[in-house]
Amino acid sequence: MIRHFSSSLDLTRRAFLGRSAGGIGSMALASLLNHNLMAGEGNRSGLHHPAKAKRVIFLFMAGGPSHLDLFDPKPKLNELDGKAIPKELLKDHQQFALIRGTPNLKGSPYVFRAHGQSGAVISELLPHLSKVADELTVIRSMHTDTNVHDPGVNFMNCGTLLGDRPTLGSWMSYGLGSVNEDLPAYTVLTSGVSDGQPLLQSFWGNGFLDSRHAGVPFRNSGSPVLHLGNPKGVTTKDRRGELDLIQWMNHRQHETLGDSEIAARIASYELAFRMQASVPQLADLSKESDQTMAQYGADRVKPSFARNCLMARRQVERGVRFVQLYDRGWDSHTDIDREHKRQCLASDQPVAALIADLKQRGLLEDTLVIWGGEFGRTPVAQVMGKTWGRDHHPHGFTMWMAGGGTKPGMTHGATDEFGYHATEDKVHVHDLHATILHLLGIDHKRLTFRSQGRDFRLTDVHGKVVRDVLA
Amino acid sequence: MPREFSSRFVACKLTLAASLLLHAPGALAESARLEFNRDIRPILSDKCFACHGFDANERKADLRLDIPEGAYALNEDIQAIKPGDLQSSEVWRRITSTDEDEVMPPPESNKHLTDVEKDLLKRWIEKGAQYQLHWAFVPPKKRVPPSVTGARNLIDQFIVSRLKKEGLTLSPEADRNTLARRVTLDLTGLPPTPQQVAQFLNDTSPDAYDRLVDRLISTRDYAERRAQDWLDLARYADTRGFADDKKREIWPYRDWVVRSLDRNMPFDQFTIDQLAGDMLPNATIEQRLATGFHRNAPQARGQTYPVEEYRLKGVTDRVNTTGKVWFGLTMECAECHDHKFDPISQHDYYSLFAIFNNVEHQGKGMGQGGPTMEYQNSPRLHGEQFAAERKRLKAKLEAARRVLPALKEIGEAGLLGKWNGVHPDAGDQKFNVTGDLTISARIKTRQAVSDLVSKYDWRGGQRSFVFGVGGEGEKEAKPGHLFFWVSSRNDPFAGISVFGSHPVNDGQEHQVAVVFEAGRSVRLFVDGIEDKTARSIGEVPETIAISDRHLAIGVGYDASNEAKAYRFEGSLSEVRLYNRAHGDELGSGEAGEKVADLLATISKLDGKKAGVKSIKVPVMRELPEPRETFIHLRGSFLSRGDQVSPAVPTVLAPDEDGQPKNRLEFARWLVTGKNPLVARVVVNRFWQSYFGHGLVRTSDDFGSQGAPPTHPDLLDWLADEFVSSGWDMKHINRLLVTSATYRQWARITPGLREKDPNNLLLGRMPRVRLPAEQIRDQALAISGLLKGYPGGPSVFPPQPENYWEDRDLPGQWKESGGPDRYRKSLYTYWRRMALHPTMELLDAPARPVCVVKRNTANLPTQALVTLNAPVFVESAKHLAQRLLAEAADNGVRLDLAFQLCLGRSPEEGERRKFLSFIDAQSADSDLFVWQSVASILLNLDETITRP
Repeated sequence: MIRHFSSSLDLTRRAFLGRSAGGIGSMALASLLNHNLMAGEGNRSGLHHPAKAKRVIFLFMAGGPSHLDLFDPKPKLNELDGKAIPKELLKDHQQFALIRGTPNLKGSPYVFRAHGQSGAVISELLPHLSKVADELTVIRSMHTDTNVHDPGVNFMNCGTLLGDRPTLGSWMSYGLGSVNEDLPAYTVLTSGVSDGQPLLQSFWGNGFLDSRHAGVPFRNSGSPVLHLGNPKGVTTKDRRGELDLIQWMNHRQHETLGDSEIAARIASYELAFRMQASVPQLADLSKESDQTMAQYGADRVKPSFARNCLMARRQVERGVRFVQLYDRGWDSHTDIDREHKRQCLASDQPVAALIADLKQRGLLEDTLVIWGGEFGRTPVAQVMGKTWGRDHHPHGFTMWMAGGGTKPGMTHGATDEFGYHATEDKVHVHDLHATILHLLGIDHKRLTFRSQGRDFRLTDVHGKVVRDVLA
Repeated sequence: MPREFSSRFVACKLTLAASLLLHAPGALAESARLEFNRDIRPILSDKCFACHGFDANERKADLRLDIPEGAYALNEDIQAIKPGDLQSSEVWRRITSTDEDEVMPPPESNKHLTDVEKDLLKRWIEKGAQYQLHWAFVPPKKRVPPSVTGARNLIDQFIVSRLKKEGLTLSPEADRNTLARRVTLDLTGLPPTPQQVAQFLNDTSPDAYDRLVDRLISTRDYAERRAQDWLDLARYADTRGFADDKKREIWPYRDWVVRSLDRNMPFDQFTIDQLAGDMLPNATIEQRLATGFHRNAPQARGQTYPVEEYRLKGVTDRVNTTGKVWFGLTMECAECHDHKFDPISQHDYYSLFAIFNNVEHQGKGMGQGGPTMEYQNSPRLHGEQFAAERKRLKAKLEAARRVLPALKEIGEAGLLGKWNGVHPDAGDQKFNVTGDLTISARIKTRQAVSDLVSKYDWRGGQRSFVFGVGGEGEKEAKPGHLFFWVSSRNDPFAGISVFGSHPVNDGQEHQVAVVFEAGRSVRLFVDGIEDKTARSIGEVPETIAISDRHLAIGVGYDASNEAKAYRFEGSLSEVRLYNRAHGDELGSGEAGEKVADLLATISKLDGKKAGVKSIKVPVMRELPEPRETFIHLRGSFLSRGDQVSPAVPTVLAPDEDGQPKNRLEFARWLVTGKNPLVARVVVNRFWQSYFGHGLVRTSDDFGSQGAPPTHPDLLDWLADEFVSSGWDMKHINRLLVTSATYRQWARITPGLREKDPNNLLLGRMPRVRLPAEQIRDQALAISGLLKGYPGGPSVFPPQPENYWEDRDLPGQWKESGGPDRYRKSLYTYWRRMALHPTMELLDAPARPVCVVKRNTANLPTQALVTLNAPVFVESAKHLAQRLLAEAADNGVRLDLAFQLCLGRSPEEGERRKFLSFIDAQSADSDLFVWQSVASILLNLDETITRP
């Protein structure tokens, strides 16, 4: 075989010149892997205006937390507790998810108080969050298109019920690239009760974007990332030796054939090698102080939502763009008192700690924290024996954001007096997406990807930036 | 209206034949002559049609620019485009305006015209603003391949002639090692063995390569590899999607695809069977199975709210998938509104929808629902494995039989009678037995159905007992096999029926017997060996009813009170009736037990092969009354618009009387050969599977937003060749891989990089990273682990522990044992909501929707798979063991390793490098060192890339 290919103009070739025994230069990585900002792929438009947020932590309360018992008190509902739901509320209404017949209204048994200078109203179930109330931008007028779990989660992530499109994190990875060299741009952390709703691949899917933009799920057992550890008996040194020979061969192949994919392969193997060190370091909480652990209420080893909150902070510190935490167990149909208390107990302190920690480290300013589920819960009760709960409710619910260029200490929008329909300053999921992208410096109408002849966007043909919540 | 629209278009001068629709401005020489489809349509489509195109609802200022009638029309003295007159063309004034309120496209659209685009529009208007019908809707023309040198087949003539225009030629032919590996991987999905490479290298005849292709294309591996691509289109998976994502037994459809491709079913039949096999007259099992194609769509469980919306989603998916697979069009835009770029109206969409709307597939409760067919589960044991196991057991059986003692006589205790030959009336005695019973006889017969001893008249309501061969022809019974019925009531039957598992009508003499132990057991014996796999139906009765019929020997009762049916033919002797259970006397002791056990094992094995399990496979079935179909405004299931009738999109429509009214007519219409899209779309996908991209690079979009073909004449020629060959898929695939174009070297020279960086003109062969399945299958094949059994239920090779549990997914991954761990990835259980991570990480689609082209990434998480995932570690270890076992020294081992992984020997530099790597290893185990080498080789870019 003749091996004579060489081009002084070949970018990857140049990259090799700076190559050390341990790997290739970061410039090459920047150009070959995910650092392809403004690179000509599809017709991506890149950043459109200065970004307020550089990273996102999305705290996904899977199952649907009750806005009525956490953020959106309704005196009228308490007053009419036990009365049948007014007919006019059911006018354009198809059907509840599980409740049949005409159910009765149900007030919230929990006490709400105004907190902080902003006077944000928060339920007694969230005492820790109440202490950082002034950091929050509470949106009480969210609404979505479905009251079924998985289409709802899909919708919140990718703007379609079916989940066949790229998710928010994928769009972000695609639009902004990665800002770190040894971790994925988009990760997923999971916690919560084990009988919660299933977590589907589509929740962090890349849709028609290529798979570098898919979320990488971190596992709670075994190695944090699949197949991270070397096979039994293979040391890091052994592996380095193997890699050197792999790369030597790949390099020869590249010289012969001049295919830039080979150069990219070389780079991705180096990144894999570095991930083998960086991911365990990331997941190793032994260097976190006892004080920090106590602040989050997390154990260094035992998986929990609290541990994931701390992990999220460590990830964004290291340049992960988009971290999504799924906390399962919010689907309180028939025993909201027990289940919401359990969820709040496990999540309230770490969420508040995360916000305080980010702030203290100067990260909150350009880290957008988002809290919410796929929908809210009904103002009517679903009764089962002695206990009661609430059904799925898509027409009005609450989410909040903090940091990343949002206006702190504000409450936006409102639902009607029953907490049924969002009425004032309604924010649809598409609007939320538009707003999140806006904070990231992206015009949601201009971040597009052409697939099957059409320029797709996260917001489809909808979405309006909610200007009021911008700082 | 659109009928006129298309005919008027044809009136425009179609200069398609002469045009070279290349999208590489600057890279290739500009053709001086403007082409509407090449130069202008993409600009108008992208920048103007959204508001001035086909979609009437979105149309602004009542102006449409997609047809000349619209563009040229005078509207209040203003003409959007006046052919030949730039200054009188309002379009030109608007696109060059500096006034924000006037300029087009408007600033808020985020669309801008570049100077180059403006210049093209200017020249086009000046030259007369000629329109053309979008190329894909013009039927392919007969094309004559240009004559050139350097061509191997007609394909090359088109490719070479086009290259020549740019001053380029084909690259030299790849070396023969590369060719062997390339074509074997492409056609079979597996690497060539070193022997196969050597055989090819040693074959110096001029047609060596063609014969290699012929051999490969006739293998089942070829069919399995092609099926993989088709299953992406068919969105085949083993689960039904959505949150519960339960198992769906539709693998028989997958096997149907493999079988049909294996026997090279013509594509027209392949189409008709899959879309409407159920509606064919006297549809066969195979034809009904084929309709699983459109039952592959994800389906929520029945109660998922809103129920009707989820039902409609299923139909929508069928329309969209059909649109992609056969039209190469994105129909889905028209679900909510008229297509903005292509002439597909919402009315068109729902007319097609009506064709697919007549299947009852609404689930109930937690179930999926919908029509299914009974299907006999095929053997769980696979060909070779089965044969080997049976052979082994047979040998053991023969050995065990050799040590059997001679047959014993039972003796006289409890003997009621003894006969030779046939006796319709065995004597005056009633021979009533009410408790334990033994009957024995010596028989020699070839008859399938006969009675030996009968006191059993079912028609006369006089049941007692009967022993014989073939069960009086009843359907539960097997001809030639022993049976025994006994009832504790004369009428109706209350007792047990026992059916033997070994035939006794082989013309040899056998001692046969039945032993009835009242309330406890019924045992059958043949030649002193108990039949331990005899099948019984019912309960062993405590007593036997008394029948007033005579005891009959060698004959039985049927529709008469005299015994004259089921008469025995052959030799019948030593028929004995006892009122005792003589089981122990009949057996042949330990040796007999051993034989009985072996016979039982073989019988069970045969049972598995025969596949007694019946499963329900989702298929299509028309409702007796077609559903009414309405347009759904904005795609919402709540907003009904006009009612529509079944029809195909108007732009493709045949004459009025040819309008398909149902699925079958639609399927037949697709493959009449007259449709401008179908053949082009299909051959383009074939092209894509070998060359990485189609001739139309947007293989899922032949519409105006898609890329135009790089070689339009070649595409037309191939489409025509496909149809005129009788839709012969193997023929087209063979043509592609035997072309000189396919046989080129893959090197990217600086010249090619500069002139044609995206290889649009195919002046070299592109390298293609292997699909997920092939990366795994290749590692298994190289190491010798791969098990090639075809078909059957999907298998569960190891996946990381708690992979589903961690995500709270219902169900359990029950890891397969034995050979199922090492079967082709085609047979891996395909879970839509959590694909096996090896597949997922290597870019295999979970198939929630039809996938025309896979994305291929190049990621660190993928490197971790091939470096560390158990299947690759195991493959590396096996490969190491293989190398150590098959070769004596490191040099030979290395050579073999390269041959296995890369289909070539190491070059001298490589040999030195690897040998010094091996020498430098401090590990004292050869296995460890060679496992390291194996892992290196399995991870090379060269290994995981189709060269």
